[in-house]
Amino acid sequence: MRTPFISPTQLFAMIILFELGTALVLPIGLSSAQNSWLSILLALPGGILVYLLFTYFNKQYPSMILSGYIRQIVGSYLGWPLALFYAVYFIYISGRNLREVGDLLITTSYDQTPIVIVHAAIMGTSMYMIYKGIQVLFRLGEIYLVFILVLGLLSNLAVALSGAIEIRNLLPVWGEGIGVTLRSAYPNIFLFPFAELIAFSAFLPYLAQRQYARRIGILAILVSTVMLSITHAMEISVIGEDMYSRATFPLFTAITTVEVAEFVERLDALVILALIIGVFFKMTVYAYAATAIAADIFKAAEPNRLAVPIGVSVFFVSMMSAWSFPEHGLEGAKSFLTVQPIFLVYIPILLLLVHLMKKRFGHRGITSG
Amino acid sequence: MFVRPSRLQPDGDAPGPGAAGQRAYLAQAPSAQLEDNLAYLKAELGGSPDIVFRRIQIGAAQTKAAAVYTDGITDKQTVNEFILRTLMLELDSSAEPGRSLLHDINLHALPVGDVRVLTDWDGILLCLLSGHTIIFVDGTAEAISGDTKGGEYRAIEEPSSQVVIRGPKDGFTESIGTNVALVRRRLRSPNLRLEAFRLGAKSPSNVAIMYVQGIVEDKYVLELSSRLSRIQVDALSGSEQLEELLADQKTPFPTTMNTERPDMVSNSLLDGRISIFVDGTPFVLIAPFTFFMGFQSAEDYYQRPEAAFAIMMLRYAALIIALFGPSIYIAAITFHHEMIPTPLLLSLAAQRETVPFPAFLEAFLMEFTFEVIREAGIRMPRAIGQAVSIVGALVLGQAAVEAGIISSAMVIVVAITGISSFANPSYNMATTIRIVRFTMMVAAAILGFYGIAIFSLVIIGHMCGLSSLTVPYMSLKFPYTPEGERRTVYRIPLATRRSAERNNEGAAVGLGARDAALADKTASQTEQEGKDAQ
Repeated sequence: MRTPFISPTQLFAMIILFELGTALVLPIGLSSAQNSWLSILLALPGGILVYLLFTYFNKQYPSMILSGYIRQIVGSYLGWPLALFYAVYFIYISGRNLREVGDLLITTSYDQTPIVIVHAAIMGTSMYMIYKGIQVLFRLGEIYLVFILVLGLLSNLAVALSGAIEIRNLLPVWGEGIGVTLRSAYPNIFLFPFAELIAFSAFLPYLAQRQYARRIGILAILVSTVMLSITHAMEISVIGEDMYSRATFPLFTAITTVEVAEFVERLDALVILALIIGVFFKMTVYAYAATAIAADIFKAAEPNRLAVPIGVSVFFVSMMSAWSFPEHGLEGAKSFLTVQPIFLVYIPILLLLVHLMKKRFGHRGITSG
Repeated sequence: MFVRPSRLQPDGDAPGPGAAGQRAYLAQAPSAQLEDNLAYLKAELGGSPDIVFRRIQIGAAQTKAAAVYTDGITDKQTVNEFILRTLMLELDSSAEPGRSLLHDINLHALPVGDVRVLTDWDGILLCLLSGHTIIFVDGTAEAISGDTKGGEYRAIEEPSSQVVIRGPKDGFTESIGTNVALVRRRLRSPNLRLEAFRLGAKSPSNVAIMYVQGIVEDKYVLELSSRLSRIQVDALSGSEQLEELLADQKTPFPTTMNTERPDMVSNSLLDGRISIFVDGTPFVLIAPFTFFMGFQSAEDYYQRPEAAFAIMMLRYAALIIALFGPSIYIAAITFHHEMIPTPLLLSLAAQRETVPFPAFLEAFLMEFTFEVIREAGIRMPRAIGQAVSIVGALVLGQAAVEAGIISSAMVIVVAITGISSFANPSYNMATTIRIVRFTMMVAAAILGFYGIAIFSLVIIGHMCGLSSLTVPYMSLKFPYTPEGERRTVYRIPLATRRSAERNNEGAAVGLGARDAALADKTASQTEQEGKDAQ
């Protein structure tokens, strides 16, 4: 089996798809509703820092994924369970993403279709792609990025032409002061979707031209941030602050109001399509990261074979983590500020500190694991 | 009685009595006795009447000899003029009978191109069955074969499956020699390379690969040759079988291109691809093949770039309609009424009022019937072709709607889908798309647009995992240059293309990946000029 490799363009495409994923459709940065588009921009530096942190780890341990260098840094006894926790966490997040798209579909068009079938369809596809491997997944991402861009262009054009945009809805900028906006950026938007880039630690070792890893990644984060910010600004300007903060899927609500030339009336299909594609890639990236970690810590020879067990776990997590979408949201809000920061911020920073200390104070510690 | 020996079938199904002993005998070379040889050959070939044994006497010594050839696949005139006549009348050999006579014949008396001295039955049989004339001389345990291939072949005609409005009208035939010549005539480059293979254990057929040294990347040639030499088949019935044997993965999608057009082959060779000729089929394979290449037609090179670009986009649009047409209809009617503008929805609902079937069944019924008509149109004798179109147009179009079995909107959908799938320049790709269309309809019936989106992900994901001769199937960049990408997606004007190609050539040579760099560089320019001249 040849080792798979990812080209810089493919990494670029996948980061954009991943960042847009659910963040495009869900409301983010709730506390600063009107200024959330600014919060997104403010959270950008944090996102870049997270990405730089993982490219740094990648540079230090070029052939290892997250679970590999966790065990190198803190030793096997502490590192192994920690890596396992990461795998579980990735499965959980993947399941949450799946639930979000499933619920949007059920509420919009598929009220009579069992949720099991809706979830199974996308999970089956995701498992198939994980089974096919990284290279195929990233090639697919390259193709779908073009698709997503065309979709975004079309829907934004339609919104602009329909005259639904009310710039007044965005004013006053920073009406409540910069503090609220900043608080919404950190930690909320910083954690979701920026810090989630941790999942890419499973892919960085396979990058074909490493010297571009940083440049391409930062560029991708920049582009996706701008796209997110524009989209959310568009949403707010179309449906207003009040609706924006109450809607389950603001983009969906915004798009349904659009009407162009008495013909283009219901563009919600485009939004659903964008969400399906975005979520598909996001959950697949997470599930793949979980698969890679599991394969690493359980020493599986063929990571692809783990596609089925991991995929089935994601499927059940998505079904059973919550009874209803409100409960799902509530649970998300709870875990968001308790569990997420641990995995996405505290542990990586601790890892970095331990690593730097080890590096500073000689090599004695490194072999202890 | 002839014991049917199984020389050509070493592990044949019905080895006769004493097969083992026979085989041991077969391993031997021809004997020095002429009559033994002829008797053996006769037995070996089961006394087929189309094997002609012509006994003659040569030279002043009146040495007994015989010429053996297969009637029908040899050129009679060559046999008569150059073999029999020269042997019987013109050979004036004063040499002793025996080996030197054979030598004399070889040097002086066989005015044909390919002459071989054969010492084993294997070679003799193969030559005889490929149209050579074999000469046995009494007293010599060797045979001479002279190339007298010929016989009736289809003449070069306009290709029937790939038609262009403007452009050359010649097409490949069933003869590998003619096919190779047709391409050679276009590519007058000394770097045009031809490598011959022989595939098939029971019935060997000639296979040849052709490429332009210096343009093609060597790794593809190596990969293809190694795959060809690994192939184990009994007989090769045509290039279709080879296509399957050469595939990288198991997939319904075609991973090599086939063409009847020499100009397509020469263009592909100049792009750095390799073509595979198989004896007995007018379809020449081209590899590596990428998905988007399936939507290029030879016509693109004979139109103005703007027109060619527009038409290519039309073909992509046709692809999307052919793939998604009925599924979108099913999804919209079954799941997403709100997407259809109200007036249209009302009229659709009115039409569907009398239709007893759900949309999926309705669509499936119509698509199925359409495919049957299409298949019947291909298979049946030309003379009754009119009948199918009458049945198709009247019965299935008008009458079915009037009878209330299907809605008229459905007829439109099926018609557009059908026509769109004809707009695809490569027939085997169109067939695959037909299969995918039906599965897509099922996906749409189960989960509407969501099903379509998910199933598209699966299909495109599957295609992303494919490769043709190790080149990724969905790649836009073959050959791996920005210029190659531009040419695949849209045809760029020739002036730009030529200069870009020269630059590429220079760059590639600079990398040192090519051997004989300088010679190649000049050669590629000669090729270009040769191409321009046409």
